[in-house]
Amino acid sequence: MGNGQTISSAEISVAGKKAELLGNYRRHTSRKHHFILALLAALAAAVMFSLGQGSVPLDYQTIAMVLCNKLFGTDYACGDIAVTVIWELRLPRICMGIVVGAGLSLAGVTMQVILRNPLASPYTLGMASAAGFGAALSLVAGVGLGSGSEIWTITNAFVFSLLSSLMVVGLSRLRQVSSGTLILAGIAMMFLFSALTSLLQYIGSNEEIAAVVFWLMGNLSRASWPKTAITAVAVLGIMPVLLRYSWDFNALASGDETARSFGVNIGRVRFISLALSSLVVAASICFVGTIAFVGLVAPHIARMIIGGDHRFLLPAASLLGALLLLTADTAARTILSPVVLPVGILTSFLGVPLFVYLLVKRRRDYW
Amino acid sequence: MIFEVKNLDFRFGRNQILKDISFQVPEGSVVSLVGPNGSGKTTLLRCIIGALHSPNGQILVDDQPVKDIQPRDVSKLIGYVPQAEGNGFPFTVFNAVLLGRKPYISWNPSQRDLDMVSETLVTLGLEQFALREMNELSGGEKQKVYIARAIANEPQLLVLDEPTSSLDLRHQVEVLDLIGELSEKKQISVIMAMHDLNLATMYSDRLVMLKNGQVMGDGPPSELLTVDKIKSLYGVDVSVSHENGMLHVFLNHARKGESQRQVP
Repeated sequence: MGNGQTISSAEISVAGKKAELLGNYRRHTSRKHHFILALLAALAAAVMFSLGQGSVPLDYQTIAMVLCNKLFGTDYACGDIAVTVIWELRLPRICMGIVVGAGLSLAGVTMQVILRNPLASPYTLGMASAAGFGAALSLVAGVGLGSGSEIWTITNAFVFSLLSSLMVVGLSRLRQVSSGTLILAGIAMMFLFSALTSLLQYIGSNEEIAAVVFWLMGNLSRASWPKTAITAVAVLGIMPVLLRYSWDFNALASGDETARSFGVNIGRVRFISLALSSLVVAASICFVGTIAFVGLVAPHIARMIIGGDHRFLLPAASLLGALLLLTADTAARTILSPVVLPVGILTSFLGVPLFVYLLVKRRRDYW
Repeated sequence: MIFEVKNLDFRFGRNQILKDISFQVPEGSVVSLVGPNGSGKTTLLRCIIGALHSPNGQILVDDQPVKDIQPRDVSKLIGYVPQAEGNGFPFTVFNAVLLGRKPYISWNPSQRDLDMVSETLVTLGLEQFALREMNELSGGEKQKVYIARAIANEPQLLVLDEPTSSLDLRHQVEVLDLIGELSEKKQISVIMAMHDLNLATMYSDRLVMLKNGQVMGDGPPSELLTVDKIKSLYGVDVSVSHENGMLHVFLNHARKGESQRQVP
């Protein structure tokens, strides 16, 4: 009798512990949902704020009326200037900032987990400097894929950044290549293309050098609706595919053997996700230059806040990258107005202090 | 489930790592692989979990070749516990164990997945760590999490790579007790690579001795662990004693340089 009672009370305490555990886990998970929703709200607020800033200040009422007219076909009277400023100048630029920031950050998260290395990013895989070389080739030499016209600069940048990642991705297809080797190969690519770009700058004229430097710093001033649409299609089309790999990424984070024991086809996941994230990066930086820093730092900031579960990390990091780039660009347009700074400079100014603060604030080792 | 390795060969380039390996693991029994470093234990384990593929030989589950089973289904049969995982991404213990349910999850874990994880955590006494990060845990706690992760998978075979190698005495015994209990209660078969012969003896039903990639002996510990066999396997002198029904292996090795050493 007494024995029976102790067993049942032990069972009750196990059930109680389980329930408590599940409750804690649910709260923990819903905090992550809330964080993602908060990021969405912050992004929306940043868009509204950014639309009002610039040489023609606009109030929120005008902005709202213009957006309503364009999106829902309403017919508020708000003046042609406001329509042009918002719809032709500021909104494409803002949308470009959002998709590029999201895309680079998405690619950064993917590359970091696939190569299991905190330094992996569009920069360290050589993609940024390869794109820079492609652009410089068109701007200075006017060779390769055409003269100095903008379309060729874009094409060159796209092709060369894909070429560089193709090298690295190709290496990853070989069986016995470790992720460290891939990173080293990427860094070797980076130096090769930087050297080639320097060579072009050395032989170029002053104006050509200025054009190359301007391109390399990265900026959103050349944004337009068609360009934004292309990048958006790439980013929004590839994001769901990578999201579907969330569990595979989680498994890969624990090591190749563990992942294999959970039935992950490592070679395929690695190849597809590296190829897709390279495509996102190429489609982003070919229009805006090398703003690749977002792709390194936004994933880390998101990971420090929300943890390493890729179901939440991929969307959170994308939103954070978008927010970071949009905020940086808004600052770049307004701080020294009417002078517009290259956004690449501002992303570092904004991102690095936040990054270092989070690194230092953590009691334990982060990586 | 009866697990069997049949005439398995494996080579890295020209190096033959495994030669004609055959052994059986009856349902619910614990088999330890013993042998010196480089004898092929880890390679054999990696072949078993499917991380390495060999064209020669077979790995059979209830007479069905593992090769013919979908990877996702194989991963439901076999749970793997690594020796250690590099510190990497921040990952909570709960999520690490939830990963064991990966073969069952498409996007959102089901109620059953969550129940299974929390039950495993409570059974292993890990509930107070559930929302802590893996990077914060000690070696013994991590080892338990790896085991919990493999158990949450509800496997029929548990494969462990030197589960006690980095643990202190108390944790060694705790982890092995846990493995023994699981195999007994849930009829899970266990294959583990072991270095400590005394622990291997205490906790295994059978030993498989590996030497230079070949099976040198296969049988119950009391038959295999003789002075001669251990000498031939490791090249060191030992004595073996039977006390209180337990078998103990002692090292009889004169330390080099001992004579010069001054003892105050």
